[in-house]
Amino acid sequence: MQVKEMDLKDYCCLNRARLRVDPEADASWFFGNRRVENELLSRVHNDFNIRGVPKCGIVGRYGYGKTHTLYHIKQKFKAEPDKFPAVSFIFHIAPYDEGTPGLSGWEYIHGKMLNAMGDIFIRSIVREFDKLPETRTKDLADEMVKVFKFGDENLKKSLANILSGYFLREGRPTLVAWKWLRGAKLGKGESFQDTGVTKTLDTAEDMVNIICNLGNLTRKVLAKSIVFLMDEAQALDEIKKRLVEIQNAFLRLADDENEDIGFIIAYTGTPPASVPKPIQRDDILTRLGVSKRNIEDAFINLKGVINTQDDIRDFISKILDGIIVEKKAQKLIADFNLSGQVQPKEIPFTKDAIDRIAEVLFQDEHTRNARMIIETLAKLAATAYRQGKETNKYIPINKDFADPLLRNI
Amino acid sequence: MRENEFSITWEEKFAEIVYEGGHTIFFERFLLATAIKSLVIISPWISTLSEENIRLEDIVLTIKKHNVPTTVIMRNPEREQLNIKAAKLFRQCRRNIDLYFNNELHAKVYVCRCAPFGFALLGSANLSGRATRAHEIGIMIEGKGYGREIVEELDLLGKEDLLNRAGTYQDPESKKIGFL
Repeated sequence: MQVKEMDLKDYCCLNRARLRVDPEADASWFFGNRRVENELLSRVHNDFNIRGVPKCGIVGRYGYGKTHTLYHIKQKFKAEPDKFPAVSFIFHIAPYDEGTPGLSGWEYIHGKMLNAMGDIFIRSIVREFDKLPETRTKDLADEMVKVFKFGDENLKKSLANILSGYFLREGRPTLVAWKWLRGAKLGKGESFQDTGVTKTLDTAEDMVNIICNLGNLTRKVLAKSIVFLMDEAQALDEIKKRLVEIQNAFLRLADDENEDIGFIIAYTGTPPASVPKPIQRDDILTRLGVSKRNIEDAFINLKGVINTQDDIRDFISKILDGIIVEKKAQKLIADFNLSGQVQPKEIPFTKDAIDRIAEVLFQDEHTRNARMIIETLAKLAATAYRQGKETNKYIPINKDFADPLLRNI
Repeated sequence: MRENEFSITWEEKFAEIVYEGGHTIFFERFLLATAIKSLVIISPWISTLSEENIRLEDIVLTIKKHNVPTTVIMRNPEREQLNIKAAKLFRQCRRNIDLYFNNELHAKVYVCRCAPFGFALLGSANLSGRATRAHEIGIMIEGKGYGREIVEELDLLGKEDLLNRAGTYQDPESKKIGFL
């Protein structure tokens, strides 16, 4: 194949269309300094043993790989259920805005939690509960109430009626049930009359109780907890008027009494004030096992993932190794007589180019992160590909080619 | 002299003019830096930066946490009221911070020595909240190419040169406290 006929995938021998990493599809990867991954997974694992569920966070600047790390944790939960007995749901806290209706208060975060769990999951736990030998022949709602630990009897009974009445069998529209679960007000002509509820969700505490009770049900059915992986938690710093309400909700979730709903928060912040505003309270921090002096024990700093020039070099090698099809690369090297210039696992980059990229990116604290590394590799590859296509000549990316493009980083 | 900007290498781009937010840029990098060897803060007036994104308390906490040997030179708080709170904060971290006064001081220099070499900010702005919003200008110097020598020289300015100039003396309060 001639260069002018190649697409970027052929030119760089990629196993994907573009030189990029997908947080979800590539969740099993965690490149860079393994110490940080170990530290994070140890904290999560220890939390299962100490608190029943993980209650912690990750912190890092933009581009440090927080979203990818959340997906990595989710993947770990799936791959090692004995070590991490939890089902996890990812959602973005942003955009939180007290000036826009529906984007503020605990009901906004509560709605995000429910949406993340979704209809299918709630249906599945209700049906599994119904199949349990001890509940099969009894009234489902009555049995559910026995499992719920949070809130008053009216709340427990109402939740049990909603779950058993709407989520057990197909066919019945669940919109009203979802509205009740979210604490939303009903529209004209809608009514909770036939739903069997004796209480509406008026406060953040009611909503936290609902989520915790769903956690109790999940524990009973799956012998697992629920862990919410909350991305973009820096949006919580926008909280102003609703601070007390949201702090109290987090306090309830952080409390030892709650062993079935966990959270791992991803927060863009700069140490030492590296937790979102609502969590910067001694009573919440102590429940996470830390104080203001050692916050980083609960909020693991991802800065250390890429800490040295060697970490950058290692990160580049592993990324390229993960996205390059080696056999295809060997053939291309033979076809274009590139032997001695590029290695099959690093094509189209030469070793001196990789060293140079690592040197340049390491210079500034803002460029030594996963996103900037991948972005730089992609930019160089795209430029070489474009020039190669124009000249119908394979252009490997060596130091001389890379230098002018790296100049402005 | 180079013919055009495209022939300038990465190493030669070691200095950049900073028109606003110089302190924020410098100290944000300081908070993110790795293998920090030292920090130099030279500013006649220093406030607690309580209204800023990065407060003086954040800087001092990082110094303490990472055991960063730090030299601070400013005007004596007994003469300059604005410096009182900052001096108090610095004194709380006397194990890591050497505090000096010079009442003739007018230079504003900030130097962080860290991996791979370090960086410095040289400019018109004091380390005070007011200065971060006023019309100030500075030059951020990267420790690469010829920039290395400049960063090194500015570092020595804070660690040796200014300390040996007439009018510079160590904070008497830290002397009283001894080795703490």
